[in-house]
Amino acid sequence: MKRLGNALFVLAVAAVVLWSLGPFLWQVVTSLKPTAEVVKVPPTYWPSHPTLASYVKIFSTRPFGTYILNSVVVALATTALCSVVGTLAAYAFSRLPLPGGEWAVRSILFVALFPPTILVVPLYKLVQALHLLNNPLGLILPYTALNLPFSIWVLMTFFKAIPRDLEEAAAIDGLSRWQTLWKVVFPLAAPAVATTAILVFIFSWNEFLLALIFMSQDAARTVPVGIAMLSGVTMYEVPWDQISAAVVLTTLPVVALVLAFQKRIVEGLTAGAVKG
Amino acid sequence: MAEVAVKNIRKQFKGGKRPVLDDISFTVKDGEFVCLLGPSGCGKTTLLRIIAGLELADSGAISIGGADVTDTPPKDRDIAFVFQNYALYPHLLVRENIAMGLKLRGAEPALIEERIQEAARMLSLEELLERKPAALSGGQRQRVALGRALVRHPKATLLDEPLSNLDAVLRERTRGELKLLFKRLKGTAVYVTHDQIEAMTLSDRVVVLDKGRIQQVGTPADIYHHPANTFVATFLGAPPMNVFPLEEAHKARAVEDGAASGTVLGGLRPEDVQLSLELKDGFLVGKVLLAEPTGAQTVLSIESSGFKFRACWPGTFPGSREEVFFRLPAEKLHRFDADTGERL
Ligand SMILES: Nc1ncnc2c1ncn2[C@@H]1O[C@H](COP(=O)(O)OP(=O)(O)O)[C@@H](O)[C@H]1O
Ligand SMILES: [Mg+2]
Repeated sequence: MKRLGNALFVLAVAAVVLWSLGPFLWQVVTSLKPTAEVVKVPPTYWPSHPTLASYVKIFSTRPFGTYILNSVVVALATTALCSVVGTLAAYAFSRLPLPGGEWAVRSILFVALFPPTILVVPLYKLVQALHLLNNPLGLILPYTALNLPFSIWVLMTFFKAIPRDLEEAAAIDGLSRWQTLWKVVFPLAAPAVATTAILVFIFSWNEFLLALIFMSQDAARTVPVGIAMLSGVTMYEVPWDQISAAVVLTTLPVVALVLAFQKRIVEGLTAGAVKG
Repeated sequence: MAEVAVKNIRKQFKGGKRPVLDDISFTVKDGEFVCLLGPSGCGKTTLLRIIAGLELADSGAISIGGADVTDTPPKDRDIAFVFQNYALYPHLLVRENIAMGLKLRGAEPALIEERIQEAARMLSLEELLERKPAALSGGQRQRVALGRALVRHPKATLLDEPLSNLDAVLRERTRGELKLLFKRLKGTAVYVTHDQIEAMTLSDRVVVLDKGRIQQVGTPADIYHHPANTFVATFLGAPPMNVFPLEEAHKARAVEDGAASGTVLGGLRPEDVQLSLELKDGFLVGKVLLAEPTGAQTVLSIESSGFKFRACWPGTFPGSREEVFFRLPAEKLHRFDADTGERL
């Protein structure tokens, strides 16, 4: 009976994994197919002659390396900026007696309620006025602004859960505010910071709309736009194999990042559930 | 080790209707162990935090070792604080928790190690030094919190209900250990508690607080035997002192001495009531309304001609008895002003 239960459990897990990973696996398979086999009817479930040709093509016929570099710069800078500013702001809002702090927090959250689509035109004008079109900063700054409310909000919740006594004990031990933040608060908040950082990274890595509009030159484009701009020999031909290769390549960093921080993320998501 | 002086401290929180602390002054002598005793919400923690510098008073002054520290930040007051919930750093080892204060003050590693070992020996923490707080029991955490306070050899140690999170058995044992420890260290200590037993057993002197005001300062024997007012009289002692309009007791002819007007309250500790199963000279008969056995004694609620009071019967009171003979000895009677509650 127990064995049957176990078998059913494994089966159920396998089904869920397959269901979630299916589309991605299909991309992997497609990226390994020779161009001609991609559109074959009926489709083949495994490439007859697996090849890395499409991977080579996206780098040789398209500036895909540049796209990746742009994306890495934009995503890392946004993540770093968001984490540092978000942590400090969230700490200040949750702990320091700021006049009007309560209202500042509310208005920050209010800003986050606007759908980004509404912001596209004014943001474009702003970025243009700052001469940042086709400059990574032209994405880094808006991305940071769009993600900060969320980061501050998540981190504030976390900081508020850290007992005030701990910081007072630190004050008596002789730690300054900065030392307290660095040696006591930050180590305890690390899971939350890692969680928000990864979510910001994923956002910046995948963002399409602003990247499409603000980065009009090919050399300034990020990966999602680059993929969308991949085209075949004729207008009517969609190079599915290359698109798949690009998708697989750009998903990998995110997967790697999440795996690396998995333990931390789980801790961050379940923080407060158990008393430490 | 140093003297701690509190002078005319006032404090009112924003939005609070009345002051939490109202003109508080007292001095803890060098090496003295003083308890701040009072019911929950009377401002004990606030006062301790003001002494530590974690909270600022509206007016008044604090001095430690003769130096005015009213505007000095906590770290420069050279005091240690034991928090009610210990406030250990969860991500650091016990050893690191204990060493933090010394390290930040730039102590030599050799000295730090020596002090850690000294504290560990005193508090039996040797086995626990390489653990994190999460892997400790409540009693162990409490000892680590004490260790963190003592390693620095501070001028004064401030403790906020350090035993309140322990279970009854452990609390009792730790109380004894704490007393021995501070006796040996001869350290100045201010200890906040709402538990009268802790205050009575630990302190050299007790500061009794209520509603933000000092009610009495004195040795445990002082405040027990000569309570300054009805609050102190009824707050200390279990069961508490009987306090009644003296007139009422007269009417019941329970108290024999001199005439009393309606403005005087009488007070008598339950253990001072003389009881007997047989009628003796000068004794009156009373009805036993309730008998509450506590083991060593039985607390009797007695009524006589409409006058009700409580008394202690040593050991177990015979359950079949509905009446008992009593005498309220005049020489043990306390007198208080009925309007102000002050001792007469
Ligand atoms: N930070 C604060 N803000 C407002 N009121 C407070 C604050 N801290 C304590 N109080 C109030 O002050 C009173 C005394 O509190 P406290 O000193 O903690 O009492 P105790 O330790 O004697 O139980 C309580 O009524 C409490 O609600
Ligand atoms: Mg308290």
